[in-house]
Amino acid sequence: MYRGSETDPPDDRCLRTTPLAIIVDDTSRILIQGITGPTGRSYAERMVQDGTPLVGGVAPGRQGQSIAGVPVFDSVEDAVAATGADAALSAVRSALALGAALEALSAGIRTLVVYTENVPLHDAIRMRAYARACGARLLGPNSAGVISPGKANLADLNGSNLRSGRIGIVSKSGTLTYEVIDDLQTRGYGASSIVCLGGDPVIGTTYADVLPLFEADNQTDLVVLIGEPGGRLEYEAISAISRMKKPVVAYIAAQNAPPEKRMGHAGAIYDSGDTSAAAKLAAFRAAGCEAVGRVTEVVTAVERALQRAAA
Amino acid sequence: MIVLLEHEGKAILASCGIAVPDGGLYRDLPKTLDGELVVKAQVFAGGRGKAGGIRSASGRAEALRVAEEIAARPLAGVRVEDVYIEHRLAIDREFYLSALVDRDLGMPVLVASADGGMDIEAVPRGRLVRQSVDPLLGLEPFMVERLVRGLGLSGDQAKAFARLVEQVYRALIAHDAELIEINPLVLTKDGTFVAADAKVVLDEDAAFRHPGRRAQPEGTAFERASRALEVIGVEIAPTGGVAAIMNGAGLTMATLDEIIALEGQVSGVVELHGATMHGAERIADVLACVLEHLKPEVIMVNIHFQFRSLETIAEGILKAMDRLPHLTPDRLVLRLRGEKEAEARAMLAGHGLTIIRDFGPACIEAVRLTRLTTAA
Repeated sequence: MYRGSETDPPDDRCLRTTPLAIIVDDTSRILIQGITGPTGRSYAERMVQDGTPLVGGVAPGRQGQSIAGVPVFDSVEDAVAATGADAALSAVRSALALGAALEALSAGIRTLVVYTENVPLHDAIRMRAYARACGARLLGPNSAGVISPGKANLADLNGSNLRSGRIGIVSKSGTLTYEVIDDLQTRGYGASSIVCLGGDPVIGTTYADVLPLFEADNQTDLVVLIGEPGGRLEYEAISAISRMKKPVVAYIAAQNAPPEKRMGHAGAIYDSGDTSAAAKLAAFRAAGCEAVGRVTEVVTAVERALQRAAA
Repeated sequence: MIVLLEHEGKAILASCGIAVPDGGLYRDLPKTLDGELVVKAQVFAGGRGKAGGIRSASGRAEALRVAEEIAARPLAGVRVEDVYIEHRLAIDREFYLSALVDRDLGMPVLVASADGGMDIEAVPRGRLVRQSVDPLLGLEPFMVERLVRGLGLSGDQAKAFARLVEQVYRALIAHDAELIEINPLVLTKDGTFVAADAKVVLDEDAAFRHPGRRAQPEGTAFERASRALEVIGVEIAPTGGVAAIMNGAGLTMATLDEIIALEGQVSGVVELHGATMHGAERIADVLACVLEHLKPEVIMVNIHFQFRSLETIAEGILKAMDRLPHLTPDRLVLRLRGEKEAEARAMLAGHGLTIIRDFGPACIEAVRLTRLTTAA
């Protein structure tokens, strides 16, 4: 059982002057699963540089080693017992991703980012179901992670280029997120938190899960939602937005993507309704959101929404 | 996503204990197959019945003759991969049964209907019974019973259908499938359920659990050549215009959208998909592949790296220009942003290349250049 240590940040949650960010912040205690692999190691080095509260790593058979100055453990259970970790980023290979996720969730990890790509569909289904059953937050698979600039960086984003500010971002795509952040920063806007849900068909956390967190977050004034064709998660998001006071700007990419080859008629039963980028764009507009189909239009849409909110 | 042909799908069903009609491919027809037969085009498309891809035949000789006819030409514009011949069933009723992954629910779903044999999209919603399966529970008897009751089955038929539901669900999980669809599921005159058709889609990402599973080479010559370089190439339009190379699926989609919004023409896009880790030579290979297959007027290289070094991209571009004399600097628009940006620019300086830091202006320049080339 973890009893705390002298190097722990003081438990000042009721005294602190900077409010907590959503999902992760400077009081998180973070592990990297697969820390001895190239991806895990580079994440570790970046987190330490960024001042992210990385407390350890997991790599079976490597207990006792140290990477980027943090200890390596054989199992998540051991790591949690020794460090009090409550969040993890998994960068193991795809064949091991399900096992690693179930292990982390079983050991009590509350926030899990699965960065791994090409995770089998049925493995994604099982990790999602178990995370929900545990009441934990799973981002991914194939998630570029989550970052609250200046507080914690569990993301495939270079923290040193990021400015903190009052715009929340929730996205399926990592690289679109880079573009949007860049444009926002050029015009003087920073981000409160950036949440990448993952680009796979089955993912642990949805837009509709994240939007209420931004709504309740007193560091966020406006949310940029970055969506894509396929699936109905963007439509669920529209229902969540109807219960929000803060403005949401939607950017729906891939307006010109060649239509995906239909997998079979049964797929169409569940792709009920039109899940094209154009239909999603129109739905956000019909719901009263500023919504655009080009990445170069996002910042002006944000400015329009902020003006509308101020008026 | 690996889409199987009917006969491949039926082999999977049969391996899970589901009854399928006796049959075989026409070139290698089992000696015993004779009598009333059905001859079926094996195509990667729906609607083959209406297009004349399913025909009856009496006896082996006629079936083989019909098979040769079907094999000889495309079916409604789609290549016929093979021809499958099987026993014709004595049909009493036709049902529908499928197991699939509902991406929004994030779990498997079973769908059944007493109105099989027709396009399932045409079946009224009220005639479909759907049952999701929580993966932490697996298939529970109450789920199966709900499907059976929903179809109004009783007695032996109910028992047989329940067993089939279990087999189909097990097939979905055991084979890491995205879809197992049986339509029609025939109840024969002698009271047994037989899968008269099969549509199976497998998950390529689960290949490590299924030795031998590999996606069939698909797509255009450019798309296949891209795959060989471990990048994702998508051909959009006939040759010419802009061909664009990006990192990340999101940036790829956004670049395509932007150029089209600017009324530019895009012949194809490439997503590097981590190919940078194979070094500069691989980047040069990708440029060569784009140039050869798409013959674009302009190649746009639009890279935004958070951690990987833009120096690899710069080196790859220089190598490609060395190797390919017709890859002249006036045909390239480079948008390089992020890690080691200054170093990459320094490497590329003095080669007459257009390097633009921002996404929008770089797309505008690429479109402007194609117009100049087209006008000239």
